[in-house]
Amino acid sequence: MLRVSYGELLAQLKQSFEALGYNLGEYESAATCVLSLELWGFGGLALLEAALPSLELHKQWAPAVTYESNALMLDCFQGSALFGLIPSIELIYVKARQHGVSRATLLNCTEPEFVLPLLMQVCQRGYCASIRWPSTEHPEHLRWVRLEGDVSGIRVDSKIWQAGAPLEPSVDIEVAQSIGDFSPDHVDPDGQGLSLQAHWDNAALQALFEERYMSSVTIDPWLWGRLQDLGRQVLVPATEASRLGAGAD
Amino acid sequence: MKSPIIDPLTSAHDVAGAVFDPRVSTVIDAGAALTLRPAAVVMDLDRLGMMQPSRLSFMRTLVRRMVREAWRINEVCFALDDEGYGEAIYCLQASLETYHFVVFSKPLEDALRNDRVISNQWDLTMALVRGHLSDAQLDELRRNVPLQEAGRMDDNVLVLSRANKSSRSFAEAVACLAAGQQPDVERLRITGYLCRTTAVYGSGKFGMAGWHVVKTSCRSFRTPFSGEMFTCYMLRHFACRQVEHIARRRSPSTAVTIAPEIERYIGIGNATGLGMAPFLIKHPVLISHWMTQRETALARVLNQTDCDAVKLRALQSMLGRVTQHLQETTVAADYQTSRNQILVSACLDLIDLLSDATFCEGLTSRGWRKLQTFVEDHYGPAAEELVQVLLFELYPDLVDPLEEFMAVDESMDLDSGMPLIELLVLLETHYDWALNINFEDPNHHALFWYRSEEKMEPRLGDRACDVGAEREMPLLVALGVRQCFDAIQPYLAENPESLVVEFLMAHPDQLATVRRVQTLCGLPYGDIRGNLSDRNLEPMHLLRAKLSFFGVGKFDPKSKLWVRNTMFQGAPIVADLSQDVNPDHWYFPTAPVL
Repeated sequence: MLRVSYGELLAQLKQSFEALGYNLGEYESAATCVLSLELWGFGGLALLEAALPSLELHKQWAPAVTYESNALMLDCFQGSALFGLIPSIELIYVKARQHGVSRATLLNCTEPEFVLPLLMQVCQRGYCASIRWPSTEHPEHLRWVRLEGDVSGIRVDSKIWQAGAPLEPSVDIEVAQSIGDFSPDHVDPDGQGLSLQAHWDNAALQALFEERYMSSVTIDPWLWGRLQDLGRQVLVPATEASRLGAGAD
Repeated sequence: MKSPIIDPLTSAHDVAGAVFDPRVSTVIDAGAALTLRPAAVVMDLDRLGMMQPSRLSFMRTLVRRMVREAWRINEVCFALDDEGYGEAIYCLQASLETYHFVVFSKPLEDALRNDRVISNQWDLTMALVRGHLSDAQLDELRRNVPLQEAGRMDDNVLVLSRANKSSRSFAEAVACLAAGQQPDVERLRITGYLCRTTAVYGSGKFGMAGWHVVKTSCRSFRTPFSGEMFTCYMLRHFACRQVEHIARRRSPSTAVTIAPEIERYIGIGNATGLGMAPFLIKHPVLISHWMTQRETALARVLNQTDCDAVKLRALQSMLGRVTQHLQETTVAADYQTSRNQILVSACLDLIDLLSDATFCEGLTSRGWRKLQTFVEDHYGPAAEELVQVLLFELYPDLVDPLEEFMAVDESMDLDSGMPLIELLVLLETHYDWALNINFEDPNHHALFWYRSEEKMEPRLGDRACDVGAEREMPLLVALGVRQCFDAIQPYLAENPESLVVEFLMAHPDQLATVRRVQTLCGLPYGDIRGNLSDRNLEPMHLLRAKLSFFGVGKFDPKSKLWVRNTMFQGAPIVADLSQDVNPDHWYFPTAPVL
């Protein structure tokens, strides 16, 4: 495994995503999302590795969004949550501002974990968020993360629940002004016939974040090489004429 | 003294009874409102090209810290052969922290010596490492540091750099010392250094420790670029020891060491190209923060009214020093020579005026603002920028505390719930300079910035004749603002009550511009007011702005696109750090008289 610095990886991710055809702003946010998930222990790099083949194949469409009042439905067309969701998450936030709480269902969305960093940004404005999704590897596992935040930081609580049968493959999100505004489904799935499999509380996740933030990031050399190969696509071949464009004598 | 909190919403009219201008910024400084110069003046690209190094420049800040904290630098290894090739290691004890500076010297044919970033061989390669240095770490450094960008470092390495000898002054210095003479001051006056660094890398590149790690765990280098500046300082020290060593080996019976007053006059050369320019665009929050500290210092100083005889004499003396410095500065470009000459004329005029009792009386009764207005009216903005940094020297207690506030967490915030009409107003009021550019005119959209596959070197291309425009770097803020404005207008006409988020749902490609505009409306010094694609663009202005924050001197443009300059010339040498020296008496250095 290769060790790279946080800043080095962030710069490489931005360049690679730029090469994939994404806009400034979007590729910056996507790079930050990958790193945030890695730092918070949600496996950002592994998720990126899973998403890369389809991202390289075709630039992803923004989701189709329909909404009524504070309830939204997003169809992601089997696309990754890594790209195209910033305006939609912002819309969920704005609806929560207007109504106290808003709810969204994401259909046909891969790597839904990438929504988490976007929700963290929402929570930095003093809101709460909850997101539930079935695990890709274990469809009977329900992953549930709750975020509470303010300008000084984010509190994160993450649980995995075991269901008796595979769950509906949709992602459910709620954003609220306070935890009391969440629907019962998002307060705690304990009473819905699910059993708790694992729990990382805020202290554990914060400790992991602090540790990882102050050290290098470990990355598979293959993935690092792939990102570098992608990034080279934004570079312009050198010629004698181009060297003049840097002030060659 | 705390860092000021910027409050762009408070108008000059509200706080100072001045003419209302919504683009004038004020800061809350020690509980009182302080009016700063408007961004339209400060961030004008031409004006940025006139910036001068000041007490807040990173080199000055570093030297003050080194002297104040009595940093100890010891040579722990100096294994060079007769020709000066080998390696050297220096240990830095700074307060309770330990660092090591490691430098490797290798033979290099003259034909391969090249200042360009795309070069791959150098006379010297070096690294700054935190903590103690094990044999295994040293072996890793031996393998990787000489490779520079092609090597991999670990996160104990803070800075990576390389340098070349100045082909003329290095050899001449060796010859002089070997013959028992001091290096020729006239030669040093022209070149200013023995070695020239061609790149200094930090902030986590090539596996090194990231900036967030450095600023939180390396107290000595917690301010921006201080590790990079220290590496250059150590290079200066090593270069002097290296020429002494070669001279001693060449002629043991006659060789002498460099006299301290000569060594202080030896700086480190630096060659800088376009690579610095994208940094200024990509880090608007940081740039705004740097500028705010500098403008706060200026406002604090200009508010002082104690223009007494002592201070006026001190200013007169500083102007004399600047005059001598500029007269001793030799640069290649005619336009830079003539700019220096204009400044010399202004300085000589002011020196005369400061001997005039009536002129001084006017200053004494009306304060430094009177002087600033006079200088601007009579000698123009370049002289104004120069006099400002000299005034900083008169008030270290007002200026120096701001050096602790040069670091900032950079983030850009999106306010998606903002009514779209408000965003349009922000664009019209804060980005009028951008909207006034006619991008339909090919001359205003002539150049593009791109990264070359040669070490990702930033380069400028001409849309009319160069390839690569489809891969241009997204640095054209003004064009982005224009495109955003043009997208908002029809959307707003159809959706007059819409919010920013709804606009972004329809125009997701505008996300970056919207976020930048919303953030920087509260940080007015974040965006450089210029068109970076204009055919008549002077990229040198961008380089000068950033280099002034570093604190370089003898700005010597070699073309429109790259510049040589001198670092640390006149600064205290290592032997001075344990002495009770004035750490600040080296601005605008002048040649020593032996």
